[in-house]
Amino acid sequence: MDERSANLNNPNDNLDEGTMGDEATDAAVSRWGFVKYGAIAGLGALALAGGQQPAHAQPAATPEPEADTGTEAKDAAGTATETGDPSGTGAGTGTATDSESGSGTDAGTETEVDTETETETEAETETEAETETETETEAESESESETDSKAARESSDEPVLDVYINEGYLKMVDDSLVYHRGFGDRPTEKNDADPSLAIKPRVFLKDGDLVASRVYPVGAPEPPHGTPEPKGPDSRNPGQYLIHRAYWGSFMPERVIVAEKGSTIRLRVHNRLAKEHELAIHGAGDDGEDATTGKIAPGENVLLELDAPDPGVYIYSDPGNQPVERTLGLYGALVVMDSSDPWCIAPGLAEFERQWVWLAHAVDPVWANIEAKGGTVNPATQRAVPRYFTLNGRSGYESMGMTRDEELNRASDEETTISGYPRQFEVREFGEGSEAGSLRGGQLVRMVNCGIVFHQMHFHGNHLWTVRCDNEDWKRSEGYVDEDGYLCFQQWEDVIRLKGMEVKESIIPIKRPPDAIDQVWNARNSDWGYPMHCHSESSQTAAGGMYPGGLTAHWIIKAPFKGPYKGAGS
Amino acid sequence: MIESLLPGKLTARQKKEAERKKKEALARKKREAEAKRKREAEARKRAESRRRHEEAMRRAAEDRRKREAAAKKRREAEAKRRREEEARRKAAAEAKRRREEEERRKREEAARKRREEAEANQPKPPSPSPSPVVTPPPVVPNPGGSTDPDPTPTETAAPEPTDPTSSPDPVETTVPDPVGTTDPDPTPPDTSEPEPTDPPSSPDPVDTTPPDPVDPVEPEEEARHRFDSQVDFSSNQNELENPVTEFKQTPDLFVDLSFYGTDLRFDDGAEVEMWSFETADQRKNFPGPLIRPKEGQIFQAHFKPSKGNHTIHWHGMEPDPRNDGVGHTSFEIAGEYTYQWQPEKGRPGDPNWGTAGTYFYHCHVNTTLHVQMGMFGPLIIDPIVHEDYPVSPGARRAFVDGPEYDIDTETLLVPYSMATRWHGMNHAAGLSGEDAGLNHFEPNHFYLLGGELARRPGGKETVWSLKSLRANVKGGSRKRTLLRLLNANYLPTVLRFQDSWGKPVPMAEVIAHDGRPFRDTSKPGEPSLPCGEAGYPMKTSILRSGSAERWDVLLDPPSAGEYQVVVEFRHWITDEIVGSRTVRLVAS
Ligand SMILES: [Cu+2]
Ligand SMILES: [Cu+2]
Repeated sequence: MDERSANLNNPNDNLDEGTMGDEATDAAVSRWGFVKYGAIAGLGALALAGGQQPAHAQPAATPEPEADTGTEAKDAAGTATETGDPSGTGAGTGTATDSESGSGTDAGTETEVDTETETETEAETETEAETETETETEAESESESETDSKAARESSDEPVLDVYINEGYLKMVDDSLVYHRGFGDRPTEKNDADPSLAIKPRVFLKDGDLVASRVYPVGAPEPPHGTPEPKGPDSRNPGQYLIHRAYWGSFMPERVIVAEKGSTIRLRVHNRLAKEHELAIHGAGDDGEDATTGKIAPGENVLLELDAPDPGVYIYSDPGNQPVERTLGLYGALVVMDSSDPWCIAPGLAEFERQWVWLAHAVDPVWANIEAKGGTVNPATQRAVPRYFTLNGRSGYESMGMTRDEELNRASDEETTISGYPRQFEVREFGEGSEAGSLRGGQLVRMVNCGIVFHQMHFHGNHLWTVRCDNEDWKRSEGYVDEDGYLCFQQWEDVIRLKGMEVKESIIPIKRPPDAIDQVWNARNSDWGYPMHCHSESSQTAAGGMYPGGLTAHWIIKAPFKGPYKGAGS
Repeated sequence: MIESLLPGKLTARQKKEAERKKKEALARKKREAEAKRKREAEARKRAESRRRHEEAMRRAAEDRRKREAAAKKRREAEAKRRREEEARRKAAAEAKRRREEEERRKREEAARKRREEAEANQPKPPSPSPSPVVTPPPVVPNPGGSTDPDPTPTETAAPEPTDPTSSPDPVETTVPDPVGTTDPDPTPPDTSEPEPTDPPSSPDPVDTTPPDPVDPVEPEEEARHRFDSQVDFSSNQNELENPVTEFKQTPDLFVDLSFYGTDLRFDDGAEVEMWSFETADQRKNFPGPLIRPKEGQIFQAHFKPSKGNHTIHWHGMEPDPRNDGVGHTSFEIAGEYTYQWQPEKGRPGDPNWGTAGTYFYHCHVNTTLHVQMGMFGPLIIDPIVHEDYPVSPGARRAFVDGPEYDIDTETLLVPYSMATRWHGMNHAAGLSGEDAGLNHFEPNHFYLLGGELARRPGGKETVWSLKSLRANVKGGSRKRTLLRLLNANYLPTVLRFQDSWGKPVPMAEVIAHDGRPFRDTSKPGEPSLPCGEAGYPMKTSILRSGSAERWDVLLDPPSAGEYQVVVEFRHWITDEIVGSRTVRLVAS
């Protein structure tokens, strides 16, 4: 196992610092540095700590006497035993009871609790720490003994991404906590202050490595605050710029796994919850079938191994009790890139300055509560009424990066807030192999609706040129309306339909807004910010109001560039 | 008893033993007592400790509460200070803008006078007659190329369309325009002579001052606003009393809009409180008045919301942020404001230029509520007339090189569903964090608004409802009928064309979406023809669309007779049909 992937497999180390030996030394390169932003999870932690939990709440999962979550989990299990509060081992079924006895006695004994739990807690955290370091080997030996043919194929030096199906509480934009499930990258407990419910971005490289990197291509320069700087002025178009071709990296949001064409994706999915769960990558299997773990029993794990499918975007989710498990948070996206030309959707297809992956989702706290208490939602009788609408896990002013939390703002800037310098755009040759045209190309927006509502993504300021839907390339000639009434053709749009489980890919030109009068444009000396919002207007709310607190973002045409121009890129 | 009878028989050992037992019992008792005392003491101690602990916790909690309260107070004070600071800065910036505008106007006025004097001897072009335009006609006589920018060659290798001398549209004026308020282009002097390819490079003939992009004065507004919470953000949107219109030009088309709220009766008998826009000749009608500028025109709309804050967002038009009408990227209007923009001109065969098509305008304040309340109206941009693409009498083009259509039967179709529960709320419902239920849209009425654009009823307090459609059958002198679909609904909809028996009839040729034509863009360096002309018209009997989309559809009924147009309103999660409307289509 090479050093990087080895380290990656330790869930505690992989995302921390930029201290990864030789690789880390190049500061301009983003291979290791990052992910210190807290985003939603971090805030959730604060909210929990400040709320129900006493000040001494441990970062590791310590069952709190006051939090009745432990018993809830037991109810959820229905069939009792270890599933409620598995210890940190995730895969280990044997050790799972330890922590439970802890929380169990809490309720019964009275006076001694104070002193005793504290020691207990210490002991627990210790063992937890121990077991965690062992997790990998343990899990590996387990999977080796598995009869599953895919598992059998696995040899120990092939990197595997461990995915943990966890539960926990996430803070919504109005500070309320809502129960979620999620595909995490480390095992956490239900009442963890910082539950792992989303995989931090990983890249399966063509050469067989697995690296933790928010930036793709791995090692490409990070655009400052997410904004690619121009290559130079466009002398034929004063006030506008030529873009750096094949130069800037793109920040990926949480829940995105990138795989390069030719790589093998290996996910070991640990079900740490009380019910059966599954991870399916939709349309990524042979012949466009789902690639799936199949049902994973509580406490079990399954290795999912597949060759990276064709370049494109594939939603992964738990398809169980459709669409309930996905709506509870069990979703994400696999982005497949061709490393021979990582600034194109695929060689010969649209080229871009950088790309943005937007995961849309809708949260129904009523559903969440039913499931948190151990019930099972029947989506046919208990109709979904989403109350929060997220874009890359954030809503409203968080998604716009207008909070007082600079780390959160920065994450929004880098992952969500499309931004760039104005350029003359030519829709007939922004890519697709054209040499000159691509210097005047735009940025790629990959809109992925992992949620259940019918979104209508409306951009102010620029129309977008839509090139793809569900990995089907729309044609530039001979368009058609399909039998359901959907028109399939490359086209300009200011409202981009995005039904549940749909993926649309569009180029945003970042050009001079066409209807601004000349004088205003010429006198421009500040950024021009525009909204992007869903026009199915109910999605613009949070908790029934607080417009615009839902699925929305800003995008920015930058003020005239003050230089200096840098980077020797083409 | 035997023992008592034989006391003397007890051996010393036995006595000792008894003694010991007694002692032991005593000791045990003592120990037990001691243990009990100890236990009790311990319990007391524990209780005490617990009490102390609880007390400490209570105190800690109290302290925390106090600290938090103090911190909150500080935060609030800080937020207030910041808001005041921000307001001051904004006010200062606006004042500066106003001064600059004032100066600019003076300079322009002086320049205009000079020009007028110079022209005093020249014969004036005949001024076109009845013009609803409130402001004087453009005073930008073409300066005969002297001030005209050098039409710099095009930006890319793309073929430069041969259009540069777009002739001032002579056709338009001879055609009776159906729309009262918004007669496009009342003035022949088309400011658009040679087409500068690079907008920014063209110095404006009016503005005599060179553009001064680097204004070293204080940064007018904080680069990024920050808020304490979503409620803070939602309830503190930028609000300006009377923001100034930057670089205000003489408009080619001017409309004066105000807000109204009233109860309106719909075609199903429902009487509902509605809010929308009105003009002098369209009073309290729903939807708002049609606004219809032409590409290249300077458009201005004065808006003075009478009750509460509102804005106008010109959906699909793409001006600078101040004229985009969104509170959180510019301002909400408390007093009044004049919006200004200029729809970009189309170029034949060029997919990068042009705005002709179907749009709408709507309020962008608490939009979820305000748009549902009715704060929207249709906006249509007509194309410039290009010399290579003349227009037949009674016809218009959908876009510069687009197909001609019949003006007389041009029809607007606006699906709109209504949830009466939402009607009757406060303007600011939900903004302070209260649950107004705006996440849950449950419509109980389903409408098709609109009708033939040439025949909108001019009455007062009327809902413009689509009762039936007419469509021309191919052949003869009449051009085809253009149906403009404007989806003002929050739900996905399905539009179907069928015969009287419900059999689908693929009579709809889809020619444009969101104000942009469908073109064949497969050949870089060559003109991109409209799809119909390129040989593959996209024809269908069924068309899906969602909220805020616009579709331009040419109707091509196979023969004269009666057909049906069905609009299904679908659920935004399940896609079930929640409502449906059918109207007759008569082809002749
Ligand atoms: Cu809109
Ligand atoms: Cu909008």
